[in-house]
Amino acid sequence: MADHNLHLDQEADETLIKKVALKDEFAFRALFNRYEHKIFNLVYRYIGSYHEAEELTQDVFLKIYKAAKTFKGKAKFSTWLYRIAVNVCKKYKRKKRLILRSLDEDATLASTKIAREFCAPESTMPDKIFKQKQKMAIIQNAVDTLPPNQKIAFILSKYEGYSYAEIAGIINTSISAVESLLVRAKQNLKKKLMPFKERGKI
Amino acid sequence: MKCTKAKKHISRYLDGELGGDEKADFLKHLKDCQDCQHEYENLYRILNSIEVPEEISAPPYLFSSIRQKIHEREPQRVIMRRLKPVLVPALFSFVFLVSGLISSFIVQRLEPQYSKEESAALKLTLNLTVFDDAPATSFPDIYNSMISGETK
Repeated sequence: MADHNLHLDQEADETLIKKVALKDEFAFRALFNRYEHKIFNLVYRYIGSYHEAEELTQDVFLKIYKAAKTFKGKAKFSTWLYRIAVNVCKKYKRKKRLILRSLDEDATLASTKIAREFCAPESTMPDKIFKQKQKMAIIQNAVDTLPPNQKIAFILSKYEGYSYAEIAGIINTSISAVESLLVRAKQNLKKKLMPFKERGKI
Repeated sequence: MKCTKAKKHISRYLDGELGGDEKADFLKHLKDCQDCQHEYENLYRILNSIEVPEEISAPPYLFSSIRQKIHEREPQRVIMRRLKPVLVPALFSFVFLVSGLISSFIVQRLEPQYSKEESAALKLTLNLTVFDDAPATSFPDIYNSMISGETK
């Protein structure tokens, strides 16, 4: 079995997913090992909660397992996988926003709460750590309030280091659309973060 | 290059997506235009302060949870697939049986029920003397109902 797994580790994604379509669990495991970390971090960066990222990462891989047959090899496997992950995240956020709205709450409540907590003057955290955490919370809050497509394009570009062409493949749009999403995302971030920058908070 | 175009190119340039002549034109414009330089510096400063968040590791039990979810769905499907050849005909015959029962009940209710005296009176008024001698049970019910139906 160890030999079998070693052999699978060297196989291309596209070969492995074909095996997954035939319910090969070793192939599924090999793909999971290859992408688990990346998908978990992508989901976590988009959603912002460890527990929810855990649930959603499971959903993504379950979808991969069940939909393996539908992978036709038109795009790279990783593009297909990321597209599924992005769709799972966006759908989840949409649903959550609807629930929050029905509770008459702001969708960004959690992150603004964090930001406020760190900005509280009575905080006893050591100065350096406090400042670093405050900065991260401010930035996370700003990224969180971007519209969904701008946010996903920004995360894929800035945090995951994908090219415009790859992002276009993942969110199923044109390169020029990705370009304008990122122009707008950066303008929005500038608008939100400039006051903090001027006060030396970030 | 005009400022509007140059400003759009700032984002692409910062992402390393601007190349060739476009890049050369952009940089030339930036050198000469203070307004665009200012815009570029602002955006650069903001984006530079956004650090890539530290990567975190996923919980170690993630795969076993996924495996569990896959397998808790699979057996149900296998059972359903095996039972299908039995369940489908069983369901059809059950529906057939129930519809038979219901229709026979309806027919029974539609059929006029006469007491002995009533049927005797009826036969008398209609001059049905032919079947009088024969015992009522020897005739199929349907025949009786035909007669009473016709005569009603």
